Amino acid sequence: MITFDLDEAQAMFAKTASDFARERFRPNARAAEADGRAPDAVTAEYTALGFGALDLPESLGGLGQGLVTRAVVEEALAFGDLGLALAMPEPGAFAAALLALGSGADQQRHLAPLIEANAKGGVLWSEVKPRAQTFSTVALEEGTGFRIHGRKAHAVAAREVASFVVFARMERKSGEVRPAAFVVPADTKGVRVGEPVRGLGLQAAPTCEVTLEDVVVDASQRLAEADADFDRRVVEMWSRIAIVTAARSVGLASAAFEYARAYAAEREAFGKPIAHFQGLAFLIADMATRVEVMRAVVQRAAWAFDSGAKDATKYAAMAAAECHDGAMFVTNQGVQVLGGAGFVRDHLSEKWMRDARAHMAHGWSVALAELVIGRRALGDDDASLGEDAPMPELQPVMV
Amino acid sequence: MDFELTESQQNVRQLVHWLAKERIRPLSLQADRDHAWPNAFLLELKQMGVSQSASSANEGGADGPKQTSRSAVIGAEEMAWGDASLILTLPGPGLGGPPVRMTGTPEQKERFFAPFAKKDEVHWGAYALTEPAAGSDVAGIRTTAKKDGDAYVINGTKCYITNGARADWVVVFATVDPSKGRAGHRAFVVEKGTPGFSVGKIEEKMGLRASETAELVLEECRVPVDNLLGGEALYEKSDGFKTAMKTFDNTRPLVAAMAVGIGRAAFERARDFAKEAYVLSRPIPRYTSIRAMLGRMERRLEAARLLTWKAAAMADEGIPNTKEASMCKAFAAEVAQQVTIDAIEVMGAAGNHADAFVEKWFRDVKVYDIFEGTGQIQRIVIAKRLFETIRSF
Repeated sequence: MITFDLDEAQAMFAKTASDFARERFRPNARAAEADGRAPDAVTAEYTALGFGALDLPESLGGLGQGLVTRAVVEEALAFGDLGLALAMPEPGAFAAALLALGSGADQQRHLAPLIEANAKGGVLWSEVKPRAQTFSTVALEEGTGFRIHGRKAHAVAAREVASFVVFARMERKSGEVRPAAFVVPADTKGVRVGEPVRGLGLQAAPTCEVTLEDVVVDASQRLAEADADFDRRVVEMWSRIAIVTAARSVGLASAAFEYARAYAAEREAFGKPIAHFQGLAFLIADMATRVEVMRAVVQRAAWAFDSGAKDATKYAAMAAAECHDGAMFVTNQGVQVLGGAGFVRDHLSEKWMRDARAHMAHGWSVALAELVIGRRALGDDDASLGEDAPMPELQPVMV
Repeated sequence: MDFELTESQQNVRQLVHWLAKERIRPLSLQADRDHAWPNAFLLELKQMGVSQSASSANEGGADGPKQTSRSAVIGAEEMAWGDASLILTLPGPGLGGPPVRMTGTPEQKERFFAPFAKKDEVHWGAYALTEPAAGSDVAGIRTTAKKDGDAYVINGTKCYITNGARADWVVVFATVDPSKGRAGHRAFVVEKGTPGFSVGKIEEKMGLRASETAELVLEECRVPVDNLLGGEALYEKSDGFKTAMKTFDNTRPLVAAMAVGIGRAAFERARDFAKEAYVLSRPIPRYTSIRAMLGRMERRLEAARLLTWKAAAMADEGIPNTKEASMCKAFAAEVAQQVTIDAIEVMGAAGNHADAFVEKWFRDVKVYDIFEGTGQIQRIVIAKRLFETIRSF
C-alpha cells in the first residue's frame, strides 16, 4: 500500500534528531564553521544519542534500523546544520563500504569496533592526481601483504577519523592489476592527514588530503570477498551513500525554505509583508514544492534499498540528482527572498547556499546520476554505454 | 513507509495499460485528426466497465474507499499513457460528478446520475465555471441567476467546457448577487434542451483535439428551483464557491497523474527510438548526452509521480491536501511538458512527424499547466497555505 507515513519508531527517531539538531547544531553552526570542527560538548552529546549506527546491523552493535529511518534522521540533523552533522563521529561511508564490499568476518573485525568506540570512519576514493580509468594510488603486493602509496583527496574531517577504507589500484605479483579496497586504520605508519582545506562550505567538517607513504598492510586487510563482483558491490556502496547524501540535502533545503518563509511573513515592504508580492510568493511556493519532491524521492529510494529491490540503484540515482539540484535551487532562492540580508552573514541563508553547492560534490553528482538512470533506461545490452561502477576518475566526497 | 501497490492496484495498472496499449493507442492518431472518438468505441469501453477515474475516485474500488484516490491516479496515468483526450471523453458525469455527489440532495443525485446507469447508451455530464471574462478568477463570474417563482432565470456565457455540447446536463455556476462576491454564487444543474440553453462554438485546439470543448450560452434560461444543487438550504450555511473549489482538490492529483502519463509515453517513445536508432556506430558524445537527457526525463517523471501519489494518499487518509494537490499539479505539468520537449529533441526531426506520436503529446500536454487552475494559480494556492498565519494574506 502506497504510504509516506513514518512508523512510530521512525517518528520517534526523527523527533529526537530534530530537537537535538535545532537546539545544539543550529546555534553552534557559525562557531563550528569558523573553528573547522564541532564543539566537544556537542560531539559528546550527539554520541550519547547513538544515531551513528542507526542503520547498521544489530550483530555489529548497530540499531538495526533501515535506510528509511536513517534518511529521516539525516534530514533532521542537516536541518540543524549540515556541516556539524558531517563532523559527528560515526562510521558513515566507511560502514557503507564494509557492508557492500566486506565479508561478515571483515565487518566484525573492522566495523564492529568502530561502532563500539563511537569512532569516525572514512573512505578514501578521490585522488589528488587522478588518472583515467584507474586509481593513482597503488597497492603493490609484497610478502604476505601490500605496500600502499598515494595521495587521496577530499577526506571529510579526516583528522577525526579512526579508520579508512582506501581504494587503490592493486598490482599483484602475478601481474594482475585491478581495483581493490583495503581497511587502513588512521594510526597505521605512513598515513598522514594534511591540513584542513579551506573551502566554499561545510567548513565544520573540512576536507583534508591524506597521504599514504609506504603504508604496509596485511593481506587480510583487503576486502577480498568483493573480487568476484567488485563493480556491483561498489555500486551498492554508492547507492547507500547517495541516499544518505540526498537525505541531508532535504534537511539543508528545508532549513533554507523555512527560514525564507518566516522572513517573508515578517519583513514588510510597501506597507505589507513581502509574502504578499507574487514575485516572492511564487518563488517560495516553488521552494516548498521542491522540498516535498526531494523528500519523496529520498523516501522512495530508501524504501527500495531496504526492500532489496532490484532497481534500488536507479532510485538512489534519482534521489541523488533530484536532491542535489533541489538543494541548490532552494538555498539559492532562500538567499534571494532575503535580498541584501541574504547576502550578509547576519542570517544563515548565505551559509546554506554555500553548503549546498559544496554538498553537490558528495556522492553521485547530478550529471553522473543521470547517466546511471539513463543507462538503465537504455538497457544493459550495449557495452559501449560503459560500466555501472562510477569510474575512479570521478572525484567525489564520500561521507 | 511503503511503495508497494495493492493487488487490486496492480491489476488496475495492468488492465488499463493493456487497454491503453492494445485498444487506445491504435485509434489515438485518427481520433486526434477526427477531433472525436468513435461513439461505438466509447460504448464498448463503458460496457467493459471502464469509467472516468474522476468519478471512480469517489466511489471506491476493491480496496474500499481508503485506497480510491491512489487507485485512481494509478489508473489515470496508464490511460493517459494511451491517450489523455480519451479520459476526458469517457462517458460519465465528468467534472460535474463531484459537485453533484458532494452537495446534491439525495433526490438530485438519483435523478442526475440515472442516465449513466443505462448499459446500452453513452451519456455525459459537464462542469461550467469558466467564462470569457473569468478564468482562474472564478470569483469574478458574471453569469447571473435571478429567482422568478419556481425557477431561476440564468443569463451568461460559459466557455472551454469539456463535453459541453454532448452533455445531458451541465453544472453551471452563476451569481444571484454580484455585490455579495463568493457568497452570491450558486451551482445549478442545467439540462440539455432547456429553453434558452444553447451550444455556441466548438473550439479547435492545439492539443487534446479529440476531446470536445464547447461554448455554452444561457439566454433567459429558466432552470427549475429543484435544479439548484443542494437546495436553497445549502447556501444558508455555506457558500457555493467552496463547492467549486472542493472539486479541484479532488481532481488535481488526477490531472497531475495524466500529465505524468503523457510524459511517460513521450519518455518511453524517445528511449525506444534512441535504442533502435543509435545502436551502431554513433558518436559517443552525442550518445552520452542523450543518455543523460533520458535519465533526467525519467527521474523528473518519477518525482512528479511520487508527489501525485502523496497528494492522493493524503486524500484517501482524509488529511487536508489542498497544498499538496496544487504542488503535484503544478510540478507534474511542468515536468511533463519539458519531457515532451526533450523527447522530440532525442528523436530529432523525426519527432516532429505526425505519425511519431510525440508531436501530439507535446501539443496535448500543454493544457495541463492551464486547465483546472494554471500553474500560477496553483502557486497562489500553495502560497496561501504557506502563509496562513498572516492574517491579511
